[in-house]
Amino acid sequence: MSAATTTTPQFDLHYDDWGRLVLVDADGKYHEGVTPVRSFPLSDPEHWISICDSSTRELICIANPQSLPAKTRETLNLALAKNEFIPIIERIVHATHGEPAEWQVETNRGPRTFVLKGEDDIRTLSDGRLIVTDSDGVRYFINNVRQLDGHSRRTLERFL
Amino acid sequence: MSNAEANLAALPARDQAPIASQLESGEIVLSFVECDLDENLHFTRTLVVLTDRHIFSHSDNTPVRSWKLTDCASLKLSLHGALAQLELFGTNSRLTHWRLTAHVVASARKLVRKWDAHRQGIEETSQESVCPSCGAPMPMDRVKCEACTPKPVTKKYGALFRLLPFAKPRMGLVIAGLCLAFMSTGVSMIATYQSKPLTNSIANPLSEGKDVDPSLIRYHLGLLAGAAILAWILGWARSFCLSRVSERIAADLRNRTYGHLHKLSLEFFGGKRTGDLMSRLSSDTDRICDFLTLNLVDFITDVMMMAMTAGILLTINPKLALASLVPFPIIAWLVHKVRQRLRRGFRLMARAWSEMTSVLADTIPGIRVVKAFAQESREVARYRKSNETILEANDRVNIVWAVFGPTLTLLTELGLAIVWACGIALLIRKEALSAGDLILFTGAIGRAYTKLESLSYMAGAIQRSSASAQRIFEILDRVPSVSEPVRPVEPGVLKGDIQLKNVCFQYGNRRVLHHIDLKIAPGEMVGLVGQSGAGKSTLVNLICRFYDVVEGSISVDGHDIRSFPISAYRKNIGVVLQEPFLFYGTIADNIAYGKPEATREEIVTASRAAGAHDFILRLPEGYDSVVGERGQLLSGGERQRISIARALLIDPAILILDEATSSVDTETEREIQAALETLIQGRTTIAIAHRLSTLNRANRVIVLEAGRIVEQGPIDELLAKNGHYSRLHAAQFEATAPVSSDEDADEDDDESSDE
Ligand SMILES: Nc1ncnc2c1ncn2[C@@H]1O[C@H](COP(=O)(O)OP(=O)(O)O)[C@@H](O)[C@H]1O
Ligand SMILES: [Mg+2]
Repeated sequence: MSAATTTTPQFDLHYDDWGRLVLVDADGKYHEGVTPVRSFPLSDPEHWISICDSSTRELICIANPQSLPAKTRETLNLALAKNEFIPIIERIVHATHGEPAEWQVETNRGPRTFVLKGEDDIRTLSDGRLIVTDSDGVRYFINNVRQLDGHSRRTLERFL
Repeated sequence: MSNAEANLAALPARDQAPIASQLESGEIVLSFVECDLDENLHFTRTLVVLTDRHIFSHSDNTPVRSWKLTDCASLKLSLHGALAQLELFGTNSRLTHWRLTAHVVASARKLVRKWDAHRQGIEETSQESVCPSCGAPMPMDRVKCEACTPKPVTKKYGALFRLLPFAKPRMGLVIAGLCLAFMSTGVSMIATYQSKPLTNSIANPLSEGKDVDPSLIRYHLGLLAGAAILAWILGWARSFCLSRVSERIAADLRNRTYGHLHKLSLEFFGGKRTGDLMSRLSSDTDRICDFLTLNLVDFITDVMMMAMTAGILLTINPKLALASLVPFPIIAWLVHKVRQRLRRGFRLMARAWSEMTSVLADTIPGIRVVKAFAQESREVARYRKSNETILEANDRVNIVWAVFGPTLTLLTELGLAIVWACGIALLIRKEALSAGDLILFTGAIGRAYTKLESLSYMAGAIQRSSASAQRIFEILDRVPSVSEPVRPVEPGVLKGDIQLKNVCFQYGNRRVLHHIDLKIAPGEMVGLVGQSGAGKSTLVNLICRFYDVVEGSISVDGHDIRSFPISAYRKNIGVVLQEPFLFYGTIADNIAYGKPEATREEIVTASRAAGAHDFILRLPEGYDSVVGERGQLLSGGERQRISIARALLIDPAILILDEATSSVDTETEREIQAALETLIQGRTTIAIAHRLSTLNRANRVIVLEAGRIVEQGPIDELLAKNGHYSRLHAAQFEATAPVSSDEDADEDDDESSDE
């Protein structure tokens, strides 16, 4: 906690041969196997990114990644992308009636079939996006209900 | 060899040929996982196979890749939320990695375990385990038992039809009600039919100045009055029968739902809001009841009446009857149009109600926090907002209704005009139609049309109640995640010999317990210590079977606890939780909660043992004092002692104290401690405590850290060892001294509030 600062500190991020993300902090100390974590993944994903060690203890906190050198920022974005997995549902091909329901969807990451336990697993965010959590805890976004095709929208509405 | 072939056959069909072609002779498939993501996190299937010589990886349209096990150093599975990574390392770099979602993590774990076992040269001979619930064998890549895990069923019928089975036990009454409905409608038709003879043979002759036999007048008028009275009596009997059935169906539904709710595990309640459940059980069942008693009964009689009217009209004059049907297709079309919209509207409305109940259910128990932080106005605003949501939902429905109602009136008026027009046209053309016929016709049609209107309200009522029924069946369809065994073993009175084997547990995708192995002998007292969040409560929750283990097994007296009927098993366990919960009722009722038939003597003995007797006597009404919903009248320590008495009264073989004495002062704790000493005799006791002094009597202390057992043994040994326990110990007994490390500070935090 004491090590974490909110100003942008001097540090370096890179990947080693073991595929681990390495943080070299201001004191030149190496931290292997770190992961970047967004503090507000839904409400403010672009700011307040923490770099944590393997037991999720914060090492540094980056309030605004825009202020980082381009190379570090690139690595950071790459590392974030590796751990970020919220496919966006583009079409609901089919959903069974009742609960739990089996959903067959097309996402920006390819087709997928999953089980939705109940309507509680669809949460509306304050910006109008929907977040759907399947029975395995995998989450999906529905960015804009209005932009879905008619069939998908009608199917979705059964669960809202 | 046959085993190897069997394992190869377990692979998905599309991978069998490519993998088989790679296998050397005698090479055995140990395990596999179907990874469901590619490098760029797109959904793609990649099969990873572990054999006793290689690791293969195969995805469609690409050749099989392979690594010799001799070139590999380690295989690691790491999780990040619902996303996982399986990494294969060589001696000086990472060889490859696969990405997968939580969907297949369980099989990936199995693969890693097989890898570890193989590396350590352990031949896992008994890879076919059996399901503790039904005894069916479970193949190597399965985590859940295929045989007895219920599958999601697709429901073909609407939610309302699913109410039919509830009517079955009262079929007699239903049939009686329907017969009465038929008769009462039939009798009321007599009245309608009388308008023809009254016009043709009485009113018309009289107006033309002819004489009419007074007995004829008396006869027809008498018939009219008699039919009305008979219809009244039959109608009353009909409503009585059908309402009686409906009320009972609704009550059954409520009981069934509430009963089912109690079968569901803590996992279900963790994800639900109290208010939502309350509203489902109260307002939604009530809506269904209203529907059945009011709308459905009306609907049935209306349909009968319209059918009979149609029959009479057709016999009198088919042409005119056809003309009167003109509005029907339009109305049918209209009903069809608004149905979907109404249903959605009513569903939103039911949800909005839930939301509002939830605000209440959240705020009232938390009223002290609300007041302490002076957030009353915000809570009022929150309530107002949810109330507005109800208004909005209502408005949505009303817009549709507002158009629907008047349109219907318009159509029926037009329909009547059409009938008059056609009738007059027929009279002009001198077709076989008398004035009496026309009067009868328009009268009957007028009545039928008004019924039609009420019938169309049915469209709304159906949608409304089917939205409610759906919300109730959502609970009823939920399969308990802690399920009753298919082939139960009666536990009877257990000895309390607890054994945990390789127990892993996770909430969602977060693992909180890793590979716990633990044996507790009957009558032993075990202390469980560790930082807050280490998983202590989770461990005892598993022993109580509030949740089921994800991997491994827990057995008591040699039987997997999943093979015991749940409540018979729990009767053997007494639990005292950190946050004592008292129900609304007297203190005596609360103490005897687990054994309602307990004698006064038993109650007093238990409460003496728990050190509660004295303060209870100080209350003006003693054991008969009524404690409020959450026992607000009592202090934390007093409530705690009542809940200890409650646990002691059932004389359990296994006693679980989850920070049971954390909220009482040290003095009281010492008293309870003395009481506990006699009580733990002969019971297996698991005590979680922050205050280490509580555990002085423990035969053994287990230190849990981040979901793993890091140390265990008798207190003296642990103290001598200078390890985790002695660090915790030092931190506590030097609480006044400056704190040196982070870890100690955490412990200290938890303590400071107690002392
Ligand atoms: N119902 C739950 N859902 C999700 N996570 C939970 C739940 N209960 C506890 N946890 C998490 O599991 C971990 C262990 O909790 P617990 O067993 O209560 O710890 P403790 O050792 O303090 O009793 C904690 O990190 C906690 O956040
Ligand atoms: Mg706890």
